[in-house]
Amino acid sequence: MAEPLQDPLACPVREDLRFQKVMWLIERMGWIAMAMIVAAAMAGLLGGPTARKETRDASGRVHVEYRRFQRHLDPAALRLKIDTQGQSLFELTIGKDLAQAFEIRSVVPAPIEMQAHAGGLLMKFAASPDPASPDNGLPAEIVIVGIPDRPGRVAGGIALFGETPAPLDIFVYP
Amino acid sequence: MDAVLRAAAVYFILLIAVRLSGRRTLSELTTFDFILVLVISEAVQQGMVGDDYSLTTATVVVVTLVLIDVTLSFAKTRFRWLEKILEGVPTVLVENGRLLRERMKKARVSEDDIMESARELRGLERIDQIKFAVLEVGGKITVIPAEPDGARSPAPRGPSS
Repeated sequence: MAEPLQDPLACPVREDLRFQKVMWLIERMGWIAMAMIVAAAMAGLLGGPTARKETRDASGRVHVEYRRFQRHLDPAALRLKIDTQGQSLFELTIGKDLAQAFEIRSVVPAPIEMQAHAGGLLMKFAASPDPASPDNGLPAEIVIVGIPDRPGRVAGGIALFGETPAPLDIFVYP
Repeated sequence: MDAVLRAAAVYFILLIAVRLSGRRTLSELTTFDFILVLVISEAVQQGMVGDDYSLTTATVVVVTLVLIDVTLSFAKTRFRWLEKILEGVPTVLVENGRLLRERMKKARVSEDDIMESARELRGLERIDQIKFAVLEVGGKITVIPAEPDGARSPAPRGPSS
């Protein structure tokens, strides 16, 4: 370890080698911590595009792709694939906790109707108006872009009206 | 309140980052270090104010940062242990011409760095001309030259006859 002074009394400064050694150790531990932060960010543990996760409802009709870790005030998209089973209209319920924790910036395609509902936010969509369309029978795709309003854990669900929701578990970093 | 907390968080994150980077890193700024400081300030600016461009928030952030700084400077004069933690302690790197290599390695200071300071501050040419070289808390290396042989042990003054 670091060498002691041969003549500490002649030393012009008040050094504290024991304390300095502790600080050097903390410094090195800090570098490891910084490397771990970078590694965690690369692995998607601090949010960003690599934090993607998928979930489904019990019936398998609602498929949601979202970011497990998000950052406060950083817009993030929820990508939904809905099996409409040939219906021209369908209704989605965004759970209350989820709807309150995010400020919804855009919904594409735009719902034909939106209502505040006891269980959350109700959105009514029109699906495949043209039965002759080659896209008919494919799941409807909806992209909801929201901004996390507050840091912390947000648990909620997205469901077709009256059905069991697809659970979402999101952590919003400050 | 949000702006105050954000500014305080940024202050302490930067404080920790600068302390962890070591005294040598940001003390004597090279051109690249200077650019790095500018980039860091740009990165934390968003974290402090977000999308809020109001004069009120800017004022709150500036006042918070200055207030924390003033408070810590008062606390440092009162509590020596806090000063040591926040600013570090001076470290002797050369004693009577002897390089304390283990300390230099830990502090990431080379012999060239010491000699550069010795030339710049005292016009010294050799390591044996240095009595003490100290890495100060601000990251600067100060040098105390060795006393000339004659001055080291002055002749005892006796009563003149």
